[in-house]
Amino acid sequence: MVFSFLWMVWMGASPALPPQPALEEWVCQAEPLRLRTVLDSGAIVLVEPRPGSTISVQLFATDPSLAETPKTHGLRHLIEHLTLKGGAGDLDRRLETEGALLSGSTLRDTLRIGLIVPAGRLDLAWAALAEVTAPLEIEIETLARETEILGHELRQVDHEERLASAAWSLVYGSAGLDPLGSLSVIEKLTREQVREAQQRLFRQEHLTIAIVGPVDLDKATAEARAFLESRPKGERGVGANRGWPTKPGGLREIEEVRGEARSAPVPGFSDPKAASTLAAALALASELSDGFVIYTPSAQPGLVTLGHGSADPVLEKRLDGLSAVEVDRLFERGRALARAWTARQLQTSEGVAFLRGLLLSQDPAFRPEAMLQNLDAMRLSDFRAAVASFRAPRAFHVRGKGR
Amino acid sequence: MTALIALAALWGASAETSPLQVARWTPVDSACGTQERAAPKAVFLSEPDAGWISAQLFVPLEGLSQEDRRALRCLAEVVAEGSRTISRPELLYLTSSGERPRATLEPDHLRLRLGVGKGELRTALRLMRELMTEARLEEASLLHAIEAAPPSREVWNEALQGSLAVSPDLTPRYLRALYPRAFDPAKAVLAVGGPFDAAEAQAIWRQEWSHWSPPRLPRLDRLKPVPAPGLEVGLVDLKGPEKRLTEVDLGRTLTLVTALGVGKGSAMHRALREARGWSYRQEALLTPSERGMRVRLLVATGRSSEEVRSALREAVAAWEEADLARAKGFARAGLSGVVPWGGLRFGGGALSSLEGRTFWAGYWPLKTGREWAPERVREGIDSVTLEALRAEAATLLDELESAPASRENSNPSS
Repeated sequence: MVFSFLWMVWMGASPALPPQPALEEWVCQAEPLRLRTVLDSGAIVLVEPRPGSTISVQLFATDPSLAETPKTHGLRHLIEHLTLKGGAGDLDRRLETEGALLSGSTLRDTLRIGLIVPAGRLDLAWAALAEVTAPLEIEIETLARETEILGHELRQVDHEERLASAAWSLVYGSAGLDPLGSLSVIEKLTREQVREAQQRLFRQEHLTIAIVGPVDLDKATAEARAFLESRPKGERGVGANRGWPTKPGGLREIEEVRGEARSAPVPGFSDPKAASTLAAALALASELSDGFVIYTPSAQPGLVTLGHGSADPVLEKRLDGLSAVEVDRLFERGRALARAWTARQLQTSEGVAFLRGLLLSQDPAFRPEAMLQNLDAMRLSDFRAAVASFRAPRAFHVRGKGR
Repeated sequence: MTALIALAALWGASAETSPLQVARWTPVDSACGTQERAAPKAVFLSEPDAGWISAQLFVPLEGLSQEDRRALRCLAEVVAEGSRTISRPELLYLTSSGERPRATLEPDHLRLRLGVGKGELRTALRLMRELMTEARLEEASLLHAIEAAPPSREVWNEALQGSLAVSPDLTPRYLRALYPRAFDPAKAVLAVGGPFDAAEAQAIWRQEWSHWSPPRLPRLDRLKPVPAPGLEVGLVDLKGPEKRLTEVDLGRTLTLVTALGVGKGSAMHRALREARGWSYRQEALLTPSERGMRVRLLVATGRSSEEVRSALREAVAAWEEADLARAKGFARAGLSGVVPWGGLRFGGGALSSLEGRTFWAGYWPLKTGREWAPERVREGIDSVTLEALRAEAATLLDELESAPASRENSNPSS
């Protein structure tokens, strides 16, 4: 599975407030106990004890030298599929028998392996992670079959994700290739290439582990540390930075996709402009029928995309036609929606482990609170500038031609 | 207290993790007295230690045409936006300590739910009564909902829910006329769970309806049918026979569904995806139907339904004790909310949450006329033997029919 975007929000007819959690799920403390440990190798462990009946363990493997290129487009996605099978091929069956769950996703800057295990059964997570990060033994038939399965997956990508992928390519060119991959490239990958890349990707210095749930802080940290230190070590991979786009805006039309999207480039996650752009996107999308917003936090320049799934092209009228007063009126709504959405990510153990782990895998200093602080500090002028980045002539516009 | 012990033991919930203290059943049959006759049936689930109150209204879809059901999806977008006397901001404020009001359409019912804080039972019942009889239904909101009625976002949902496209004849006026017919108090069931006294809740509910009289129903013309759009990938959609299930049957069927197609250790994942590479996505699920429930197998593939059936027969014949253990373990964990689990497509929550318990307390009696007894579901899961599992799966595979939604070989490349 490719999970290319962290923040994907559909704005319905009533977008003022997001669904609220049941009170019993809330943890009534301002800042829960949490420990981040950065190992000498650069590997990171984050543990946050939290009441509940399950523990979420998420492993992020981030090797900048394995960023998508036209020649390796889909290599990480293929590795994700192959590693999740486990050594003996029955890892899922063993975990599910114990009431545990294994999943994986390939994101733009990292590969994620996730586990949900019952309370008291962290041992299941360590055994599973040891299995999925062990050097791959791949038969030619397995590689061919998995390539075929990836082909099925690529054909099922939804319209919103296709619009967002097209926007990334429009803005960043070949540096903005989606994490899904290209079947024609994947078909040419060899077992040696896959094995070599997998071993590099799962080296200690590329790994971040986030553990959230009913665990002992010190014990879970020690166990995670022991797991990481058991991994081979090397030099952290170096990759080219995406770089800030030089084009001022543009239009791309794509066949067989319904809907349209406008995108605005943003700096890294902790930059105030990322917060104001996200707030603007959420506020503007709330004005649309069937609107959505997509944003993937990254240390590098990224993209915030807003759009809708309808065949009628309404963005020009609805966004470019907004008066200055109407834009100003959206200011507080945008801030509230962005704050609510950030907070919502942190309401479940899986959400906390995912967001905090993802951010740490990008930069050891990244925390979701940076987004909240930037939203608090956002001024009307910041918001106006962010709204302008979604409007002509500055916006990057992708229009689907499908009905 | 008996209920506490039984339920907590059943779902493996410890005193720390489960807010459940007492589960007392007080079904209210209000078919006595002229004024009370109109009040919907209600089930009050008293849980003194719960931190909030969950209220859920179940409206059965029986008797509604396919076009009306699609139209109801638009109504669901709007019905929770306020009543004649309560604006949307007020509604959000009143529910700010619980759960924002929202309505969702499921294959056999519409569910309207909201949550309020502890001690606000009266507010919850008033809001429920108003939303089901006096929803605001503003012209602009209704128009917006009709315009926004989506072509489905993805092929899988389209297969599961049917086409979401609404009739071109659909208007706000039609939706207003449909509203009192769909939200018929005589057919709906209310379930409320939380920290309150059940007898008091029952009295408030009756009082809430004491001055209400059924409205004259406006005329409702037939909507033009909408043709189902084509899917973008090949899809095999196999449906089992419709069955009425007891709680024990439910447990047995959930085990069967899990063994067949829930999780990566299931027969469908292993036989169709891992062994043959036929499909990226495949699953088995138990879904409500008009008069019962049915098992459904969905496979996004270019292969034929016969090929799928044959591969599954082979996999089922090879099932071992380990497959049975996986199915039981995963079904228990899924139903109790330990893991996200897709075997049930009811829209209801897991039993580890107040919302989930309230859902089952209301939905199950509506569906079966029986009181919800989760310990019997567990008995059903426990009772399955390998031999029985194989036999039931083999029978099901013989009985499965290819649904009209199937688009076999519609995409030669898949």
